[in-house]
Amino acid sequence: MKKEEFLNNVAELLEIEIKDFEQEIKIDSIGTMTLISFIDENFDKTIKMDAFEQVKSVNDLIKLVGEDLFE
Amino acid sequence: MNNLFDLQNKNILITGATSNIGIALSKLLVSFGANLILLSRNFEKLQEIKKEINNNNVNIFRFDLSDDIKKQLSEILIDDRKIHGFVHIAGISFTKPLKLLNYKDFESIFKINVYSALEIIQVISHNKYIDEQVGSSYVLISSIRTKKLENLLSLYSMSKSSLNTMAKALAIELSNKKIRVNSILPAYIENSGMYDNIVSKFDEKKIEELKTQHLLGFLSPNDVANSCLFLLSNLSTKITGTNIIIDSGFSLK
Repeated sequence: MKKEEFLNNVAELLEIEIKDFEQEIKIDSIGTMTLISFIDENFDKTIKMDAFEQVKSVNDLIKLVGEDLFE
Repeated sequence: MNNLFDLQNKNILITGATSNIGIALSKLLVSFGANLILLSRNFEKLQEIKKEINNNNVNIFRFDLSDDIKKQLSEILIDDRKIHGFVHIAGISFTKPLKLLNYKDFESIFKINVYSALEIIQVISHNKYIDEQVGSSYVLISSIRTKKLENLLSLYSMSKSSLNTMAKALAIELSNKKIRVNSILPAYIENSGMYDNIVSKFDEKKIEELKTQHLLGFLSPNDVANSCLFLLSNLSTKITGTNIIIDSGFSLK
């Protein structure tokens, strides 16, 4: 998946507008579970809930998933 | 000695036989004299289980619930053997938010969790497989997540709810043949595939919370097996069309 595509998917899933990779985004518990599911299905990677406490932006998310898994 | 759970000469069909619940149930039923017909996709594991139980009354068959069920059953039910019991343990689950659901998810979870059981019952409830004197008992393994729901488990809960209703509907339809149909609704079972699958995504806090809500602790595969034994035995002769909760008090508060 390309990073741009990922950003758009995240915005869609969280139902918020995300203008760039550094924008501060707030993720509630439902959002967290949604992203865990999405990442599981698209990157075959299981991320635990508490890892999301450190996530403040899409870039943080990308690091969490692993840069090497992106095109 | 009065043996209330005597299953001597009773033939019992089990799906999901290689699951931890399936293994616990198989060992339990064999100890009361039952003949087992164990179904699973994992034939190697079935062989291991058969070897471990070390009893001639255990018959194993490779079976895929997503494939042609009637065809597979016709290859297994080849003699005049009656079917006295059926336990549907097989099932799939996944945590997925509404946004990400698609028809393929719906189809696969309903096929394995619900339709396969219906189809198997269609076949084994035929007169030729029913011992008129004693009838038969079918047990569908459902989930407490049909009473106390959890976020993002919509399709799973929906499919298991269907089993609850199936028990009631078929209890009426099959009663004239002395066939009883019930479902069991367990809460979290430690040492089960489902537990590992779902809990791997939760953090410590959530797991602790779940643990506290199980007033008598998490279940073990034996707890589910014991309830199945009760429903398959003569102790439950007048129990049919019910959804039996074994949840360690989980759904109480």
